[in-house]
Amino acid sequence: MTDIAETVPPVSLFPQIEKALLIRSVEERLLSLFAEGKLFGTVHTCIGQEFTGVAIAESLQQGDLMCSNHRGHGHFIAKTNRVEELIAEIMGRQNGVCGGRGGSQHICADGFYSNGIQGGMTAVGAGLALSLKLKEQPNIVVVFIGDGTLGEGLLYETFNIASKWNLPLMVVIENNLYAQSTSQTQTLAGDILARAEAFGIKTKHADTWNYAALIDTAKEAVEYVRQGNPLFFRIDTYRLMAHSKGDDDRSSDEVEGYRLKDPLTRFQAEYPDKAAEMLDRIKLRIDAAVQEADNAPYTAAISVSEEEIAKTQSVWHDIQIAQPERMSTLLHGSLQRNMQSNPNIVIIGEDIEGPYGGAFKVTKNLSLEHPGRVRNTPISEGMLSGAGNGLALGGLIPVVEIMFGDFLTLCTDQFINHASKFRYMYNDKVTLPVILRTPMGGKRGYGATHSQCLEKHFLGLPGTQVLALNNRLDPGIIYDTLFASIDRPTLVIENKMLYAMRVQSEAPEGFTWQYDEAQFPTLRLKPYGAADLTLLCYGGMLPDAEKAVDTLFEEYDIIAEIICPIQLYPLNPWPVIESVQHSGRLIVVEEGHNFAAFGSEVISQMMLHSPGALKKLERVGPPLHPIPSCGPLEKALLPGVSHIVEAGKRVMQ
Amino acid sequence: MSQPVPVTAPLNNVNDESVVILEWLKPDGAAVSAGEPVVSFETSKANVEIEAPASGYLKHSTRVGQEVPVGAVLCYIVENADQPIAKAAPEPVQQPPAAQVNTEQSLQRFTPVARKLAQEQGLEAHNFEGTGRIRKEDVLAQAANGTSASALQTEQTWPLVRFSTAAKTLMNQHNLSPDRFTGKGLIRVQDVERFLSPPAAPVTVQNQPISIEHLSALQHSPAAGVPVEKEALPRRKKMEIKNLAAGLSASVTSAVSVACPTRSLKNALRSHPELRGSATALIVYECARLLKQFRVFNGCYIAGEALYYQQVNVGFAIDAGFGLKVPVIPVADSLTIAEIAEEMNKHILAYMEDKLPPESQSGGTFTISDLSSEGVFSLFPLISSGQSAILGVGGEFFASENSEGFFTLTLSFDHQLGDGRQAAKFLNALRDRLTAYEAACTPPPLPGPPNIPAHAPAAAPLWSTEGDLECSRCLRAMPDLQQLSAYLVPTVQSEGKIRLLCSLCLGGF
Repeated sequence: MTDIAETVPPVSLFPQIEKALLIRSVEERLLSLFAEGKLFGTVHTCIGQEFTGVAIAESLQQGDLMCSNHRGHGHFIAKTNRVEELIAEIMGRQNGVCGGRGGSQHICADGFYSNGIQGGMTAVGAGLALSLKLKEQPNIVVVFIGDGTLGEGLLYETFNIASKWNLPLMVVIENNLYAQSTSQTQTLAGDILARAEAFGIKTKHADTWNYAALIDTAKEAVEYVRQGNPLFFRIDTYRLMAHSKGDDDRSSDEVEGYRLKDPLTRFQAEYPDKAAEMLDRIKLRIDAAVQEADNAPYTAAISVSEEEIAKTQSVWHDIQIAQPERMSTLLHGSLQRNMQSNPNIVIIGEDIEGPYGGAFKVTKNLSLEHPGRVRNTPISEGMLSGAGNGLALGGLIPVVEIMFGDFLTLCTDQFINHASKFRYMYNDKVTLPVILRTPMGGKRGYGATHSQCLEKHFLGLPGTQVLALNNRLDPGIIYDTLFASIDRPTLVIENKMLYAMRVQSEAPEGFTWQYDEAQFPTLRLKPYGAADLTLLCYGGMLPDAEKAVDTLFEEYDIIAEIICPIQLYPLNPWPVIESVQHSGRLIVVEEGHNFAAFGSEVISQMMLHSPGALKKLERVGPPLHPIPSCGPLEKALLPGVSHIVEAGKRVMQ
Repeated sequence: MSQPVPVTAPLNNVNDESVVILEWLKPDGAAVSAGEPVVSFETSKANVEIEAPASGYLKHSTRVGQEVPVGAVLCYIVENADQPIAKAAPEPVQQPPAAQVNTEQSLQRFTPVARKLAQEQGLEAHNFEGTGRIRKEDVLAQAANGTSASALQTEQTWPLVRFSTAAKTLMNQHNLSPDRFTGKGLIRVQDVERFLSPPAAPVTVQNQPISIEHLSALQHSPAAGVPVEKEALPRRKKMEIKNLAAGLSASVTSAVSVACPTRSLKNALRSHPELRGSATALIVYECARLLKQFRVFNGCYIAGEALYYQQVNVGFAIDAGFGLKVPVIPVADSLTIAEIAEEMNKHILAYMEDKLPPESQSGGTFTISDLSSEGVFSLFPLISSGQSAILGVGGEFFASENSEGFFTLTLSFDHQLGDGRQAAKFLNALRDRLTAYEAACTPPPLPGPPNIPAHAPAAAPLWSTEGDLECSRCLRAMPDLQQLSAYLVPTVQSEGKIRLLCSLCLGGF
């Protein structure tokens, strides 16, 4: 246990002490509100740890940013002093700081961002720090973590990149010895500070009991980071209350020992009159805040209309592409012209800098044309996606290239728990214009973990959009549109097999390629005659579907119409419904496992919106079998032209 | 209690919109077993018996003589004798809809909700089968069926034409030029087939029945001041009118006749016992072969295009008390004389039992009407719908001071395809072919035992009591007829009496 400084606190620290008292009083009041049934979920209090936030906030300037975690009330009050809105927020009221949407763990105001996923905000903080650096702002980012977060790998991905890129990022660890109920002695190996030092990051060490020294050390730390350096700041402290509620197995002797040496306990004992005067002021403020919140309405549901596309009659136009180009060339061209016209666009990813320019050469030489804005990263997909989120929060438009779609699994936490949630949780104060580009698909012999189509796992997240490019509509135009309109996290599925193909509008004889008027259009291969069946596919299955349509007509006397959406989510089911209303037969072709997938959703919506239209159905997808590396077996298992033709024959029987 | 099982009037013939209940074979409330005939009704081409689809008690929901739309419920089979039927009996059929109905009129068939829906879906009354009221459910079902306006635009023109391999093969078989399909987009086998036999293509006629009212350009006005007695025409007469009126109104009809010596036919009958005494079979045989050279008489004119049938399916008119029917001998040009005679024989027997199936009366590309047994000199036959010619065969006549008998062959033809010169050439060629049998005159071989099919009229009591077994027309007795491989069949005459006719008189000559 750290020794307590015997010195009496100087009068000059009274404002900081009153701030710490305010934080404690607010949290004590939250605990009583919880007991009264006026809070939802739970609250994680920082009672005993108040001086961490107070000390850091002391040295922050206008424009400095702070990221916090599940135990962030103290940090928030220390940085913003918005007590009233915090109380209302935690009470679920519309006058809360995030309109009552976020609650205790998800708060945003004045450059403060919190999220309750352990370690998640470290990578977001790195992204914010990069955005400051790219914009050449003299500000810094402080990210608070607990010692429990030392178990999260993302922290070390963040240390690595923060050190490598010299980011103005301070990671503050509140070392309170416990992760919920588990003692650090059970879970922590090695030394805490040595972790950061191993990455070449400077460290500092202080504690909350000697808060005067803590405030001084914090000042030094902030100044160092403001020079453009990362720093790891260990602050030893102790949580006097339970992690959350009733989950405290620590010995009462231990807790009581810390209570006695707690700075605020001592202050109240040493300066009872001053403390009483402060607490009176604080109580008046909190009472008024609680009363105001109590009278405010609860937060209401937002309209879900954005996620559901209303029925409109599709209007079709012929696709005309004057000059066929390779898919990868068109993608590169769009990134190039948009980077030129929009200085906010930043690309990060593995192996993307020139001259290599990415595994599929989409970013070739862009790093040479825009130094600093196209960055090679270590193999850290979690950090990449987190940093992308931070860049977006920082006002940039990040394009995050994930080399293989299979690696998206490493980005799921950032996409699902961060990107897709920030806008809502933060009451529309932020948008997340982050683009994740990744190639999916097999047929190249890469085996079970480098050949999948995993997009189904990312469909249906409110507030996101998922696009799948194809070789019949210029993907460069799709990116142009995306850059011009992006207001939400967007996953763009490219396809390995498509990169080398030429994008052209040429259709099989007797058919025409058309697109509808949606922002991200649905394509239709329109036959010159009434279609016997509708074939739904997207992305990488399109070339095979097109060949199958040709064969079905030529050899089997069957006319098929292809419907190929680019936007998989939010789903516009109407073009395919319209087609099936005429043909009565549907084949859904998916390269990925189609159990609980895109096709399942389309079929389900078709049954809901147009019962009776669908008379016969076939689904084409791989068996529920991992993808083998062995070429012939892979070819046999993944859907191809022959599978679609066979389905076409079956559906006509 | 299980639901009553409805028994509906099936669609037996694409031209039928409704049927008439003829007779209840089981009374109302009777216990019936599955498969037992319960009701008979009349279609335009045949009388049909319907079997109970399940065992139970029969509940009539229509009455004898009632005309009900195809698909409507005729009766129910219920589980318990006292089970009530919730469903009301179908309404009697209204006026058949005109083929061309304007939107305003057609909308009157819809319920208000259905009308709104139908307008949204671009559907019109003619998109719906039957003549009853169109409800919301019907519109939804039809919209789901995909027969909304856009799907019905079959006449759309496309910038190119492409044939499936199967379609190409079929076209080659029929020597069809791809030019026939210019602007028609994707062409499949079914499209080629529709081109080859448009009248038979169900899609073009199914929902647009031809209306007599529409086709008779002018309506008769009854003689002023003369009292009239109105009588509804039987259905088969109506269908006959429909067919002939359609043929007449779609054709520019002309006719040409030639006379032909009877002797040749008589020789042929003698030298070809397989004809079984039927000269008509010989004429069918020869015509079928000639028609391959005269395709203008084996085709159909539609909207500025000549459609030549790639098959010769010869129909022969027959009317011996059960109405005028035209059974068809498919691909007659590829059959032998014996096969044709056998086919005709089969049809005649079915006719006499009033069991000619509707399908045996469709698909004809040319027709022969032989009235030689009716003592006519010549006739002017009317061209059937979807055809371009019909041959009429007259009875034997003798020029004065000439023992040589003659008969007339008259070809009515559609001037839109053929002309008088071609008709004359056709008839002369036919006469030459028939006359050629004269040269082949050889003594008749001794005929074998009469080849009377097992199902030939065996209902002896009907006629055996009326005296000697002889033909009521030619008065040939049974032994004579047996020599000619002919046989006797009972026919119902207009006065309601049953007379015996020999198969020779029935088939002409």
